[in-house]
Amino acid sequence: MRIEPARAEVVVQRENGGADGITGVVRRAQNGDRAAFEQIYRENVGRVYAICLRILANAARAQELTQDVFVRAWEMIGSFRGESAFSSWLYRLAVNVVLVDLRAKKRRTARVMTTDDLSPYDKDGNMTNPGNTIDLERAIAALPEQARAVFVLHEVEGYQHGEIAAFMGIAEGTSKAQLHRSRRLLREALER
Amino acid sequence: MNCNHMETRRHDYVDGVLPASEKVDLERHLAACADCRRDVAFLNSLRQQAAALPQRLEPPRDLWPEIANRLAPKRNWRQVLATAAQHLKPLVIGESREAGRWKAWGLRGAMAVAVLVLLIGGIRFVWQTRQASWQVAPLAGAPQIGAQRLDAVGKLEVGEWLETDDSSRAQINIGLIGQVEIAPQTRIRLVKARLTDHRLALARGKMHAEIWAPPRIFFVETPSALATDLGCEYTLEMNDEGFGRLHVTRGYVSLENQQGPESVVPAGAFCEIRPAMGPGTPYSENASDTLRAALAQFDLANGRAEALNIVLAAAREADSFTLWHLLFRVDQAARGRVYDRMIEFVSPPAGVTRAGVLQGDQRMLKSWAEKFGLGQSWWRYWLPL
Repeated sequence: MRIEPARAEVVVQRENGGADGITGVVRRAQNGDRAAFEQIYRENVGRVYAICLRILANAARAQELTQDVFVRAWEMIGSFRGESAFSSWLYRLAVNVVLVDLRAKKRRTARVMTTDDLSPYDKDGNMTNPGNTIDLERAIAALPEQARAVFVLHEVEGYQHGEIAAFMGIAEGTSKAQLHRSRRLLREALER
Repeated sequence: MNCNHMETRRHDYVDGVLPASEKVDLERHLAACADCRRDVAFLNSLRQQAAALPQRLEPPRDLWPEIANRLAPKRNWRQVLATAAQHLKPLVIGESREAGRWKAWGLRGAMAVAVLVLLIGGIRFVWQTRQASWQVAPLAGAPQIGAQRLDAVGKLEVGEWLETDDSSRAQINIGLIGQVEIAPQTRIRLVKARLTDHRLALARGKMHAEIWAPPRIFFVETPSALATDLGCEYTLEMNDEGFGRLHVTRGYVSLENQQGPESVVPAGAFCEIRPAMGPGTPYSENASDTLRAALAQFDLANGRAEALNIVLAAAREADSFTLWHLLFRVDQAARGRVYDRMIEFVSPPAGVTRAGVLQGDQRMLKSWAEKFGLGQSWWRYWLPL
């Protein structure tokens, strides 16, 4: 019944040199050491912010939720038992925080949002590979919310449909349909 | 050529999940169809570009100072015990007599410290759990306790409502036994704050609970069912009409009401909640759409016989616990069919017979449930027959 992560886990394990369980810095943070937790923040903020920004397509909100993710991680770090890489645990938490926010917003607005904030993807921003990458980032940001979230989780973060369905509270078939839709929309946008 | 009807197969093909038999057909088609070849080439290129996007994007400003301001000091009973254990650990490994003597004194001292810590912790635990209020912190926006806007950490008294609007969220510390995060558009009341009965009432909205207390100490009442914590982490969502859903991510949660049999929902499973009905039959996060749809029909008593046929046909090994629940929800005649399907996935241990299970023999049911390998002996909390 346990969901086995696919590429996301592999990416994370590669970055950590394997499923490293509870490292010294994590254990210190579990014991309330703020300096250790700051180190965790410094090492992981880029990845957490990338998840938030790509799914939300809103830089200001992504910064707020990045903060929420780390505050929540601090509160929950005691429950991390080293069964996976810590970064994997943290990024799953980030995905959860963002999707909860997205669903709450969806209920509030009940409308399809497209981004009005593409500045993070401008050429003088933080991206390292301008050109096609920026076009793709902009096109992803302009996708409807659910399609964008599924695309980012599947194609960028490497999660499987079963995992995405669990994260988003939707059926696997819906996740798949949204992925196909997002690819179709991206083709229209990129070939325009 | 209009090949729109093949779109799903093209996506499955580039994702590497198209069955081998269909793959051959599609490749034959691709050889003859330039449009589909272009589409597949685009999809492959898109996948590669997406996978190559930078994994990290630095935020435009340092977020740490704001995060650091929001971090509460860590000091809970778990850490107190862990710290005491760390002090004790090196003292039980001795080599020389001299070292042993020092360590013996050290051990006595550490034990005294541990006893003191446990005593203080115990007093604090009892004192805090006897308080008729729990601490609430706003996580976003301004939640309300009654008519009072909550701008900083406050207290939720027994009988008081906590309410969040579209943009507010809050966190409740459940005495010392756990935490509950309250999502936007939620209305929840503190019903009891006793040592052995920590109880909330969720009128509508969504809450995420993480509990580290022994089973059956934390409860959430909803308009349609009572959720009992069996040592776990879960999300519970209810709408204004009394429909809801439970999603367990760790441990087990029991759902029950007056109208039907109890459901024990394990980690990685959902359970639907419906007004004026018993809790739904729980199902795996990975259950097929077919199984979910048929299970809903079964629970709603719409064409139950046909729905049961579909559930039995669609069930896989991961759905064994769904079948287990069905054993107690079908009539005697159908129970045999559920049993027969179950033994294809979880063979009963020695001494457990078909006749015994169909008659509800408690010893046999316990013995079989142990073989489910769901991680814990959840039957201890649940003997539905």
